[in-house]
Amino acid sequence: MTLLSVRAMTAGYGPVDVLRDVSLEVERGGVVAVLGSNGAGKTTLLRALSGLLPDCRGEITFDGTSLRGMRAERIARLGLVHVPEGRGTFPDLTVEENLAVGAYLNGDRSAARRETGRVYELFPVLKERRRQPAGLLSGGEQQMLALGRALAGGPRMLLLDEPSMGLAPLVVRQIFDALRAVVTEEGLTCLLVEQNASMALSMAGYAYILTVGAVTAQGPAADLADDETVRRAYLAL
Amino acid sequence: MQQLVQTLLDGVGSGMIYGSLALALVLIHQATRIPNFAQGEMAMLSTFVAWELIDRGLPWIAAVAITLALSMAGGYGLQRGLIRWVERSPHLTQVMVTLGVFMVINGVAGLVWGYLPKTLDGPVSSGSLRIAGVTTSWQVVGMVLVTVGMLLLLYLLFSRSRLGLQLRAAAQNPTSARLAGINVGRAYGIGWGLSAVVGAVAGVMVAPQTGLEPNFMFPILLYAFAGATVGGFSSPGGAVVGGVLVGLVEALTATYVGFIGTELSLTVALVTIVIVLLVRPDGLFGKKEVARV
Repeated sequence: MTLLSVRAMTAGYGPVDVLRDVSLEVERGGVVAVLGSNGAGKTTLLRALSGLLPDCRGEITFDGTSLRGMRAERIARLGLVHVPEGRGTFPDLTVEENLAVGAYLNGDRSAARRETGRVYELFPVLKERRRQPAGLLSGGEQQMLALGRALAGGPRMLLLDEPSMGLAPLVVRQIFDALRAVVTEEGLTCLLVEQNASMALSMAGYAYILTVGAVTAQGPAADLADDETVRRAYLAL
Repeated sequence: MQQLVQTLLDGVGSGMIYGSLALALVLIHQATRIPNFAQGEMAMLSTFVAWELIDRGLPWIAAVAITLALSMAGGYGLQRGLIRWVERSPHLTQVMVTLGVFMVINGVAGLVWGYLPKTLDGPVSSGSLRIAGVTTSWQVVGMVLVTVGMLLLLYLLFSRSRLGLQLRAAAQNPTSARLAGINVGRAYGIGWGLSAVVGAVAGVMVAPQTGLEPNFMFPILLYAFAGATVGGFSSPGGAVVGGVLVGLVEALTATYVGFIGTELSLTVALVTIVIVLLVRPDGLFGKKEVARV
């Protein structure tokens, strides 16, 4: 069953098209990776999906609902939650308050409490620092908080923008372990945009390769990881 | 000694008014980063609405309650109808727009209600109150209680309630707030509405003392800007403290510095702004604005 489908999407900023004619599909419960180098349009793709780019053309459907022209806050309330690149937390709110803002996406309070408890289980450091302003957290903790805030809302699908960016390998492992836990235990659907291709391919079932705004290759993640051109271009092997 | 205590009390009384309007300025600045020069005129308009309702026979409390509700709606409408279009404009454009709103409200109020001062009665007797040899008025006591109560309510709203948390999130990081399902435009509108309500409270408190005419809030707006600058534009509590400090400075200089008297007291407010900006540009309680370049 397809949860998210994108057909012939063209998007950009003002007169500049960054993405041209991009189509992709994400199965319910699946993890799909989008790989590409800097400037390939990965972030633009996610911004278009979450409604932050008002004039994008093409058809986007999420669980049968067309997202065309829908405002970002409405899309978030549908359960399609975007974890933006690099921080994206509320610096003067405490960790607890940041999670509470995310948890408001849950319909009821008991679900909000349950999901927030689950986030503290996944990232114990957030529980230790729950009364501190988010602005005082380290980069890795901020990334955990950004992901935690999305999870606290009980999302149906996550759009993850480079969760590994600028972080130490150990922290990257921690974040991906947590992600893998929610994906395997709860069957959460994810669209994962990454420069760290080996990490992304190890988690994803299917992957697309984006080159200067267009999809240039796609296939099961395992096949792409073995593909000679992909290995040379994105895995630096 | 008695004269000093008396002067300090007067200073606190007017300082509470400045603090309330300063709080309104800070609320808007926190939500939308706009210095709202129309704040005083918005408060003036609200006060005229209250006067009109009382004049038509409504009891004081009902008239003020309706006024506050209308102020909320008016502030919301102003942001959604006009200010949103300059949200991303340069500061100078935003300042010009709020100055334009200032002049429009001022002119319309003059047209509708005229320029002759009207009397607006307060809810408490204008009689005086003697405590330990010091004379003060019930009005001063009322102003202190109302301002402290208002501050407490706003504190609870912003720190405890869902709406307050969403308003703060929208102000701090609009993009992330939208991604968390918050309607940021609505949040900004509510911020302006709340600020209009706080301003209306200040207007209704000060009008019984100054008389009500279209220009009556202008000097108070200057003191409020001084108070917000002293306290720091990023700190709501600081704005109230700053307002009280400005009130004290005004009262003390008027009483003890012979050549200032009442004629130069507006100058004191402006001098205060300049000194604070030179010595501590972020105010006493403000946080440094850090811009990434």
